[in-house]
Amino acid sequence: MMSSTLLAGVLALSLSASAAVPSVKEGQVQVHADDLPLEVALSGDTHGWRTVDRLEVNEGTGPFWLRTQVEVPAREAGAPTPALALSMLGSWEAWWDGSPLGRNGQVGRTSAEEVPGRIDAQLPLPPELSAPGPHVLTMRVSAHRLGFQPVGTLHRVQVGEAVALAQTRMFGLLPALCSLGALVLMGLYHLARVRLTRDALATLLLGVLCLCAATLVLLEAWRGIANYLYPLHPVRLRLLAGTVLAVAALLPATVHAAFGEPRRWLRWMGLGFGLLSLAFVPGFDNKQGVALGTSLVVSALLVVRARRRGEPGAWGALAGLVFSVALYLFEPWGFSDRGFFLAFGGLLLWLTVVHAQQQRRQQERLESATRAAERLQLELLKRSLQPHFLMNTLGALSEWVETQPAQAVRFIEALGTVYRHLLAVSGERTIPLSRELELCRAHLDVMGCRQGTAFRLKTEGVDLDAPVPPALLHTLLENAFSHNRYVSPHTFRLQGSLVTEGAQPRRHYAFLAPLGTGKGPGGGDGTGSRYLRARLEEAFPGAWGLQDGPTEEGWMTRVEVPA
Amino acid sequence: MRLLIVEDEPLAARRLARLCEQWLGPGAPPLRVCASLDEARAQLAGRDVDVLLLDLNLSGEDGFTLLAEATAGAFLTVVVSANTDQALRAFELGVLDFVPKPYTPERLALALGRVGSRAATPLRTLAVRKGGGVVLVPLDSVAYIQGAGDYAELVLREGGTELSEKSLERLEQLLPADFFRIHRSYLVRVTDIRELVASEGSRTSVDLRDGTRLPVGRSRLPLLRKRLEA
Repeated sequence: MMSSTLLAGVLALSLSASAAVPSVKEGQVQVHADDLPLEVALSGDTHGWRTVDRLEVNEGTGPFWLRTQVEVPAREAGAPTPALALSMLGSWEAWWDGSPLGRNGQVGRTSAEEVPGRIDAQLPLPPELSAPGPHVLTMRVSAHRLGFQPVGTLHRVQVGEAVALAQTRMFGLLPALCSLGALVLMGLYHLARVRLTRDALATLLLGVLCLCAATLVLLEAWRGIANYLYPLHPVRLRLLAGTVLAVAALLPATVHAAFGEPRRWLRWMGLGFGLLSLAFVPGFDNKQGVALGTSLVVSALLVVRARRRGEPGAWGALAGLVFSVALYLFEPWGFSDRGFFLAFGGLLLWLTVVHAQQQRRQQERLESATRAAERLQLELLKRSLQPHFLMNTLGALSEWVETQPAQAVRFIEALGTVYRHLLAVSGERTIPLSRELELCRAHLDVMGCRQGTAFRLKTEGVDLDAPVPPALLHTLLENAFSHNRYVSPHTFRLQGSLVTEGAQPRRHYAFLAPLGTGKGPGGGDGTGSRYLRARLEEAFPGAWGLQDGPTEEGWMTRVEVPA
Repeated sequence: MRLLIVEDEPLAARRLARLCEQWLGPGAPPLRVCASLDEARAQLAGRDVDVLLLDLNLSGEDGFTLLAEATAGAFLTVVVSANTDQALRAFELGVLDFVPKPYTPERLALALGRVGSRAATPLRTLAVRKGGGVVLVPLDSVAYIQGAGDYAELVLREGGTELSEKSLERLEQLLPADFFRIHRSYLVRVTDIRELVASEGSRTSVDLRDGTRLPVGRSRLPLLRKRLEA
């Protein structure tokens, strides 16, 4: 009898409450700015209570009162008594249908009196007050230590099975935590590679970007993992905002560097836009949403430009970006804590793949350059073993041996010098000019012996330490001999000059092969000229010039290289 | 033997001349040396050169153009060259021998010794001068060769003739062994002979597979019979 009366009373109370108090389901709560006495706050009196949007509860430091109707969901018979999950930026005490439910920290009239509560809390409901249906939650709240003006201080009111509530929170963290390990690994991997790659900037940015994203994950997860005191929340929010901003700025910068975008100002465009819009966007989530959105758009723009330039890997990056943009459009404001990790994981994976492809191409370029260098070395040695040169030289030697042995020894000496030099320099990228001149003079000695005359090489205005590709002049000499017959003494001339006009000082060489008799001047049969160009390209990639042609005095070859 | 040396390198020319003189011995007609085929043309036009010793840089195509021109001449050509990989092509053009540099006196002597016997490798193409240029006539297209004084007329299977500046004697040295001198004026491939025909007055002729009838020299008949029976 007693119990039934009590039950009826409770029911009546709950019904009257349900009539007066707006419910969380409708997204509304009632607040009272004064620190009411407990019995007044619990009486159901409506005087002085304002109805506000549940997400926009912001009553300053308090203490203030808050009440709302909370639905206890239906549950199977024998299921455990549900719990109430509350997330509130402040310290609070709570009553459930008028009975004390619990507290989080210590509500205080001053900052000194207040003991900060934790950001998230779960309280078990009293078994006798957990019947399915509406119940009234009343809270006394103070928040002296927020230190900033949030949009709303009440983030979550939910009744459910304790395990399920915990799971919900875990699932919220799952995408972020899943990508954490991958992001850290990728970041460290790229940073470790910075010193090893030629494309250091893109690698560095990619590494920092991955680590920034990992920081973002950690900051996201921090709340769920540490359940810190509420004053730390603004600290975390600011850190998060900074990190999001860094990520938003780094993404286009990385794309910019990875695809070698020629226009530098585009690198700053994303950051500039992001910062501008942030100044006018209220709320942390919104700021982050805008920053990431801008970042994605600018990155996409850069990738489209790279695609137009025909950069390899642009398709992949574009696919990743399109995926991210799609997720972003699907949920712009929650993007930074949910979709972001999915999108970003995918995008970073793409970027990493693109980067790996680029690295491989670089490796291939390097290998082909190495092969080219080996080919050049081989070509030079092969040319010095050309039957026409070698066999005629040996024939000449036979003659010396049979007629003038002393002369033969001198001849062998000259020949030895030529080959010694050739072998020593053939594998080098550049050699000092002095060395090249020694090789040429030895070659002229051999040719002089063979032709029964004397040849000289005169130099003027050359820097003997200047680097030249091996056998540069030697090749020109060979060309001269294959196109002319020199049966009398001749002088070959090399003139050097240093031109310091313009940004880069350059060296000019003019090599004159005198006219002899025979087929007349010519630039060689092509192999010599090809060798020259390949050697110059190897030594001074894209920064050399070669011109040749007949002049009054003979065949003039002009070579221009950076000094 | 009247020799002409074409060699552009003084020392190489000196060696070639010295070794040839040693081989010819005293009393031989004086050697002539030119530095290029251009210079030698005038000497060769006089038809008083038996053997041309030619040094060519055969690494380029123009070397072969010159060689074809040389082998079209009335004289026999011995190539002296560093480019041994081109020897086969040189032989195909009809050179008597190919002496690779560097060479010993003995190797040169061997080449000079071939003059008057057979070439080191029989030719497969005959170079003939025609209209200011040189035409290469494949030996397979030649039906038989008829002497015409100092020249020789190549009678072709397709009809028509080409005139070679080489005499039948010189051609005989260069041609493969299955070419047989059946007569003072005729060189015929033995495999082309269908039968020996006795004609009037104890004369003998051969009928070739294409129906041509050519006379056989009396002194050459026994040897021809032996070849045909073999």
